[in-house]
Amino acid sequence: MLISRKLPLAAALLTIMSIGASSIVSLQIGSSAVNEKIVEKLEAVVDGRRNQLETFLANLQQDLTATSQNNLMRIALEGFKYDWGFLGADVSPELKRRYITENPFPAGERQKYDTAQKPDAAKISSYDQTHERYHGQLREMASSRGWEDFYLVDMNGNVMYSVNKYDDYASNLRSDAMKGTGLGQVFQGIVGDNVTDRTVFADYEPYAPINGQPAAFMGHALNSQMGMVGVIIIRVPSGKIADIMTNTAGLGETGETVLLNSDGYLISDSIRTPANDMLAVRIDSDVQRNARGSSVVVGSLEGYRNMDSSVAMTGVKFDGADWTVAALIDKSEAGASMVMMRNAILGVALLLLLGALAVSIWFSRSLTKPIEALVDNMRRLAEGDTSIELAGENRKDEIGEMVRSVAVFRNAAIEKVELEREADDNRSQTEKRRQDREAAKAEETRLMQQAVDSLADGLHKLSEGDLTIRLETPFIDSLDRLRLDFNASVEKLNETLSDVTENIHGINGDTGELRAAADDLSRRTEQQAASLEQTSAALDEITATVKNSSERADEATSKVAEAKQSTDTSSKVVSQAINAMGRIEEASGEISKIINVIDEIAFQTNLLALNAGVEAARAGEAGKGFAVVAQEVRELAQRSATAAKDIKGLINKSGEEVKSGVTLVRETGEALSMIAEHVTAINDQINSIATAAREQANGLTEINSAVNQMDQVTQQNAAMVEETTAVTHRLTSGAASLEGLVRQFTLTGGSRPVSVSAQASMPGPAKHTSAPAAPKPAARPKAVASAVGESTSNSRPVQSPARNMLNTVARAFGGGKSNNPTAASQDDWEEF
Amino acid sequence: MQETANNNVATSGYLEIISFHLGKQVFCVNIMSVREIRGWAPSTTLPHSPPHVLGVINLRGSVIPVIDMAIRLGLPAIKPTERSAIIVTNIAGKLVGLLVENVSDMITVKNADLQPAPDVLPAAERALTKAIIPVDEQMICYLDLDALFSTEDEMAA
Repeated sequence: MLISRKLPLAAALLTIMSIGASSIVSLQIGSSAVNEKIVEKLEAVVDGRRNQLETFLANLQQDLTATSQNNLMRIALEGFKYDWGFLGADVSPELKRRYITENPFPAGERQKYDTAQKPDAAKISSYDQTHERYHGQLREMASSRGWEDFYLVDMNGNVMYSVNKYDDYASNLRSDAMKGTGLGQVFQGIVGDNVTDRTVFADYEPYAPINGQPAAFMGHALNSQMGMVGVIIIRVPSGKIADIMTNTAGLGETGETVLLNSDGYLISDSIRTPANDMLAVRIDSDVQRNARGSSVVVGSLEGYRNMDSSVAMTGVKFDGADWTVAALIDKSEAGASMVMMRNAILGVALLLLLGALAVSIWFSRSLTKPIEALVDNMRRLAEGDTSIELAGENRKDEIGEMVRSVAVFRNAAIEKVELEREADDNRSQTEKRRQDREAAKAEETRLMQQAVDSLADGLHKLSEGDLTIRLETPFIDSLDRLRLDFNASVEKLNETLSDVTENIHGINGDTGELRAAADDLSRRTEQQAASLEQTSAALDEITATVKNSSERADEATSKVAEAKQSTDTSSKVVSQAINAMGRIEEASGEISKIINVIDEIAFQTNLLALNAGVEAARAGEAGKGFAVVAQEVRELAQRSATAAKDIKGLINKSGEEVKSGVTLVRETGEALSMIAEHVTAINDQINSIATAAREQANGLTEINSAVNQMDQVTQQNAAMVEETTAVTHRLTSGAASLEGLVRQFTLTGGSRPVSVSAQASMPGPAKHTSAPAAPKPAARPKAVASAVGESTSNSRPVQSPARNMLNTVARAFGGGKSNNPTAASQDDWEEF
Repeated sequence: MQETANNNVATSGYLEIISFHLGKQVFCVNIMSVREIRGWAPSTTLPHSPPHVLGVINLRGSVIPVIDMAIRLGLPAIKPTERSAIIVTNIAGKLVGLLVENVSDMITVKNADLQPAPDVLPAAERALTKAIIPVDEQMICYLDLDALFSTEDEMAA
């Protein structure tokens, strides 16, 4: 089977399997979830209804119990009992006639009839009066509590009073007709069993007085201090129970709640059916039998209202009644959402399947199409067709890899054909080139021979001194450079010899100038020697001066040292002065203390004098003399106090003076130490001046020796001038002989060198050169010889003595800080 | 001082007084009321005493109260120093110390020089000043110690 079929099939199968499995699982989960939800809902509803019902019944019991304890009931019953005795033997037919048959209101509204007493009647019935008295209150009580009827019964079973006046009114509950009814059962249950402290209940049963409709009764004993005096009985309000049970909220279209008695008969009318179902319809189910307890039982129910329904039931226990509350809902309605879910899943699954098929077909096409094309191309390549087009080389997948591999095969085939064709071409070209080379070689040999001949001719002419020869015929390319070089060489030689001729003329002129210059130099050398003598004398004077200043500097140094010692001594004196001042301050403090003591004594004395004065005054005439003395003492004390105050002021003032004195002395000390510092600085300066003077003296000594050296050199210069003159003459004769040599060559342009015989004919001075004669050779022969040697060798530089001298002086005055001593030392005598 | 100083001011023509300073003001008391003059010594404060009662001191075994005269006379309080003095007076048989800034002098004046205090104060305050004595350009306020002390009793009561 082809891949293009396999792939879609596999995809469809996978899709069906996966969707199928997931759909089944989700449907199952969904189904169980929905079921669980419905069950929960039914359970909740049934539980709620049961609670409501129990609350309602409990309230009913409480109401009845409360009513039985109301004195009004007992009083009313006693009243009715009393009136009952006056109604004769046929009391029941009489009352039925008054309140039922002669009641102007129809059955069901008879309670509106307050009394049978006619206003115009001659005879007054006490029962009617009692009835009129209590009926309004009792009717109001019954209707406000929802009771369907309300009875007052005496201990003999006579129904003394009924609110609604049905046929049971005025009957006897012990009679055969009433004994079996719910009303009779309640009466029997209370009176027969003497139940005084709780309610008695009779379950729903068809009740004849209300046309056989179901009715339930509840009664309670009416107790007095003597014991039970009667019974009150109510007909249970079925309407209220129906209101509770017909609430179908949350139960959908078919759901409802119903109340069942112990035999399974409905005792509440189903809201879903038009007919009255009370005690008519029966639900016979295991669920109901299991649901007697308070727990909720869940199950399914068939047959009720012709449907298959889910049901939840729970029991209601109440005062002997054994009821069951059932909540039910049609299974088809409950499952409706499941069906919708299944359909939706199937629809989505179909769509997914179609989508998967389409995608897989497209995908397999995209795979198989390039593979088919590739297979076709490979077959053609195998048959030798290299012109195939390969599509999809850029694909990133395995097909791309395959296409690229096939492309490599195709390229290899193309390359192979190309290589074979190139090899054939190469072979034929090599053969042709070989023949061409042989022909060229024969031509080249011929041309070369021609060139060699021509060159040999040219060289021959050159050897004869002819510099006009030129090779005009061109040689073969490889040798033509030889010809051009030959021509250039001859040309260059020709030019050189012409230049040589001209230079000889130049040399002849220069030699004359040289001679004049040598004479000039000789004269100046003599002048220099005289200047040197004068310089030497001046230097001696400077040396003496410098030595003198050096001595003065030394003297200044010793003076400065003395000054420094003086300032040190002064510093010590200053610190002693400061100490002395401190002591003065201390002494002042002591004096102040003493003065304070004196002041205190004066004060005390004053007080004593005052006291003495006081005593004297008190003594009267006898103390008069004593008073005078006391006054004197007081004045003395006051004077001494004043004196003490003055002294204290003076001491304070002197203390301040001492303080300012200390400050001044301290400032003096600082000034002295500053002077000492300055003296030290001056000492340093003078020391450096002395050093400088010593160095100056040294420098002058060196200058002296340099001047001597300069004198020697001047002598050597004089000798040198003589030598120069001799060399000049030798140069002139050399130039003449050189011209003769040049004249042997024939030069282009026909120019002959000018004769130099005019200069060459003066060989006299030239001959002198061989015997050097200086103006003052005898004075310094050794110096001359060395000077000649130096001038001929012309290689050894001599240090300039004058420069040397300048350096020395500079060093002396600059404290040895010559800027460039090495540069100076490299300068040589030749520059001078 | 030349004449006899007598307790009975009315009969003798002279009066002997002791003057003292409170701030810049000069006051005086009759010398016969004075028992003794002492230098200042710290006093023992009494609980709940009025501000002018400084406390009590021991005067040779007997306890006497000390009154700050500056506060008593309604002047700014003085700060006691070593040069302050306590004038111990005998007022109606009781010893009372008066703290003053310093005792300046013992003076004998003529009764004729006593001048009545101006009539501008309420009677209770005016009773404190018995007279004004001008001496050497300064005005000395002559205090009635009995009045001072009787008012003191009223105030204390």
